Amino acid sequence: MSKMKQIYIVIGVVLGLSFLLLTPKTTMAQEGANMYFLHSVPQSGRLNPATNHDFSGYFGGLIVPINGQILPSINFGVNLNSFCYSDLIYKPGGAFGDSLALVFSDSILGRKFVDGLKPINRIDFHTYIDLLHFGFRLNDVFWSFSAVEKIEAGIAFPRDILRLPLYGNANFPDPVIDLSNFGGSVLHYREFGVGANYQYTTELSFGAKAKVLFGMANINMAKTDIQWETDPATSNFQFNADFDINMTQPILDITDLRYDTEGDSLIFENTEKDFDPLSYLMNMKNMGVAFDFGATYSPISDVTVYASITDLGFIRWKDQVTNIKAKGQFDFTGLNLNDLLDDSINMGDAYIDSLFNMLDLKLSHESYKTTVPLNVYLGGTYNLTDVISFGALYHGRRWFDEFQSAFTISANVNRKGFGAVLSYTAMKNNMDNLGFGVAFRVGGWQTFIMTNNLLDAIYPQNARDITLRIGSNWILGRKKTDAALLR
Amino acid sequence: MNKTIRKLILPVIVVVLTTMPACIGDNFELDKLSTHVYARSEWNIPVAYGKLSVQDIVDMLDSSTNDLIIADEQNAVVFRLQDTMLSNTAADIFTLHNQDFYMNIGSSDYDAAGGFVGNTVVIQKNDTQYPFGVFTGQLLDSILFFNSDLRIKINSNIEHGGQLIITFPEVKKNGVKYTKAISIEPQDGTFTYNVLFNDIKGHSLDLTNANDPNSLFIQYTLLLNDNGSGTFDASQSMNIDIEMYNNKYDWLHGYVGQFENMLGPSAINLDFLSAVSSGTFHLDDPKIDFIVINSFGLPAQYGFDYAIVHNERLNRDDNLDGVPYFLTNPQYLPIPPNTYPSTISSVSDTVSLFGEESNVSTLLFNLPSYIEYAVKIKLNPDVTNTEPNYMTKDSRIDVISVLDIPIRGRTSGIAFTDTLAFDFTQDSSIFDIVENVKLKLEIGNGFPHDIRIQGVITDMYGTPLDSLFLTLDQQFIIESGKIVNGRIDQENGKTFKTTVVEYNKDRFDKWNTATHIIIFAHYNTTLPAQGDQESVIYYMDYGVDVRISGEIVIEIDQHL
Repeated sequence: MSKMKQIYIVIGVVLGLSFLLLTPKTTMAQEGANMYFLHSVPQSGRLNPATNHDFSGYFGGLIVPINGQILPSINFGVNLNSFCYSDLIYKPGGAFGDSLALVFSDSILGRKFVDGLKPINRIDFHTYIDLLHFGFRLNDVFWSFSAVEKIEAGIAFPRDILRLPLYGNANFPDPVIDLSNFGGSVLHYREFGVGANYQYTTELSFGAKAKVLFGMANINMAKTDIQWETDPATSNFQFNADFDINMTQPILDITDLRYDTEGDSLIFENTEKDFDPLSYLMNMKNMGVAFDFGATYSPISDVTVYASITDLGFIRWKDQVTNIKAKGQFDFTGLNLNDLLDDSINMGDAYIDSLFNMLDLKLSHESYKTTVPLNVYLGGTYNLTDVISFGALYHGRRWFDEFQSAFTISANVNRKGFGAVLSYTAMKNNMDNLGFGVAFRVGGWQTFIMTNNLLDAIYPQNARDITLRIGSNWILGRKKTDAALLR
Repeated sequence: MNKTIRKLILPVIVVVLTTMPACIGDNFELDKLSTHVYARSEWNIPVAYGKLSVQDIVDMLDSSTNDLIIADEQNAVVFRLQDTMLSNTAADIFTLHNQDFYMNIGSSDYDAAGGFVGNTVVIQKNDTQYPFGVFTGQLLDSILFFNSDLRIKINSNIEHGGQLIITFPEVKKNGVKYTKAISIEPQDGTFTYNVLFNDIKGHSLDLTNANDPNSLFIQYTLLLNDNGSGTFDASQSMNIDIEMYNNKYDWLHGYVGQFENMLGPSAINLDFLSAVSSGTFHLDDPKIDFIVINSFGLPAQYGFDYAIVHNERLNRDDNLDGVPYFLTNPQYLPIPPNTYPSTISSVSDTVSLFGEESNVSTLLFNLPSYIEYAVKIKLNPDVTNTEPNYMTKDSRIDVISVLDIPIRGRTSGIAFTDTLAFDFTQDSSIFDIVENVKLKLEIGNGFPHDIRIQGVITDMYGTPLDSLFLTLDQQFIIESGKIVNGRIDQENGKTFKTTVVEYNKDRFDKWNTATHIIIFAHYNTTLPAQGDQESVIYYMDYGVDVRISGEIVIEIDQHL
């Protein structure tokens, strides 16, 4: 089989698998998929522990003097899964002149906007801070160590909460108004990992990394279901609610949350904790574990296939834990005239008390488990030269019971600690992600910057996924074998 | 290779840096953002619901007025108007006067006592009778004191010292006479004394032993010790003043005399009929009861001084006939048995007047405004009868009038009018966003009456602006339930009607200056398809089911 045919077969397999998997959701916070093939940067090993580097060692991190403070290694990202600024505020032109307008200024546009939203809309934020990382080669094994502070947070709201004021419940497009998944999420943990990458043969290498996780804070809204139905005959409302919220936080100690049927009132007792930042940051009671696995394989020369799974793990939260469960059905059939005529009854309080009574609130302080965001990568590269390569990568991420997919093609340069990448990432309903990254090396000091969406900097009004990765490392030595293939 | 790469990358960076500011600027000039929003939404809302029965209304009322609506033995509704015509205690009516007893002891009394023998002389004055001040006509036999402030004041210029003993032989407790002994100790030839005693409680005073009615003896014994002069100067004397005030009795025995009093005017208000603008209601079998409770041990005559039924709507006043009037047909209280000197038991009696015995049914037919009356009472009405009376301080006379109106009758039409606040002049912004409202009224009527309602919305000058219901059909909201064998089955006999009323922006625009709404309600008991209208009975379980829902169209077309 000719080389070009082989290339076409590999690209075709990757593309085919990517489109098959590229169905459900769209953008997501990510470690920077365009770094996957930037092997000159040590952080690329986070995405595939089997990544082969052309240097003998490296170190870096926030706590490394001078280097770590001037240009700390940080991955920062904001992601909106459903809409961007320009979807909300736009330039109508015409009679509006140079004014801006809200999409809600027009009934048709407003409804089109809300109908186009996803059922669950999320605004996610993440930041990863490299505290310390280093690696070194020992014979055929490249060992690596990393300590990373990871914070993931997000808010979510259901589409129907915006559709409701535009349609009303009488004219709603769906029989049930789904107000589920309203809430927020927080995950703050520290990760310590030890990895090894073994060059089994010149074609095959595989790697793994074991990580110990220490959870600091978590808000996990495992379930926040609210459905609202209106009976078309009687106009009566029926609300069905099912909440399952777990929290680990150092701010508030909730000691009692229940409905007192005897006193007919909601009991909510809490005390503010004495927040000690040091104790918070040194909390090691919420432990977890995660694993990374990866492999690279060159079936033919100049073509390499990559596969990896990262952050396969969980954290068990057991310190400063609060669980709140509520489930019930609340029927609203209008104001009760009998109660209305009774001056001793406060109607507002009566309905609020009835609502909480029916929700069957339960408070507990039991440990629970959360997974950390799982990433799956599958890709391949074709080496045009020993420096320049073209890559195609599928990236899947599992977060909040959603599996989000993206497909990236890139042109990559890797040479002696210097690297560059120009990438294009496609996601469902988001096709304009032009990524760019560059790593410079001066002597042993390497610095890098990359983003997965350069166009967002030029057109921020269309931005839905902004990821910025900056950092610096000290690169040591070179890998002894290094054959350049010229075409 | 590095040169090539730099040649490629650097231009890209330059382009980005130069184009970025231009692209960002236009889209983020938020000072040019128009905050206009437009949204039109439709809502179905359950507004209100309820099952209101007569019993529910009764339960909602203040417990102090729970007797206003009661049920008879068939669970039929009875409207009860109760008023206490008369309520007096003995302590309120019969009081004891303040008393003042004066005595002077001088040289003549010294001489009558025989002068100093040895060094002492005992002057006694035992036969001094004093009247015990009472009301004219009273012949009191005895009194058990509950309280009396007794003050003894002595002014003396007798130079000799000694002791004064004052004895009330008719004032006793457990057989012991009430006595006070006072040491006389002159200073520089004079002696004054002013002391208050409050220890008479529990002593009885017997006024039958003196020579005259309502009188008592007080005995004075003055023992003087010679200071050496051996003489009693004629200019010397002792004045003794005994005051009794704040006198209250535990019981009183004797003829207390005649006592006449008028109580009132009082009124029984029929405020719930104040909204009636026209119409009559024939009521079957109203009844008036006079409940009398007497624990005074004396005869008493009572009756209305006057009783007038006022009808402000028809501008007429009518005398209430058939009830006892003081002058013409008074009633007499039953007298409890004489249990002197023990506790008196009260006796009660009820005098009932049924509808046909008075004109109350006729007067209520025109739905009056209030009944005004005054009551007179006369104790010991027969001047020739001076038999002793017996009463305690807690003895009381109560006369309670109870007007029971069974809600049983018929009317072909009563109109009610009431004016309620309906003010949108302060804030009518709600009309800016509400485009249309449809109210659906679903009524299940289990009462034996029809009700038709209309509301006229007016401005502050009374100018009609709009009405709640535009059509006659909409006005006729509630039809009577179906009466079978004199009753409406609350499960299957209710009459259901659904009325839909629509209000749109054109009508809301008329309400911007609205301040009031005048409610007109027309009420009639069940009308037969043919023949004479029969009376209906209201039972406690009768009620009405109400469900109100709304369809609202909200249109927001404004700047945030």
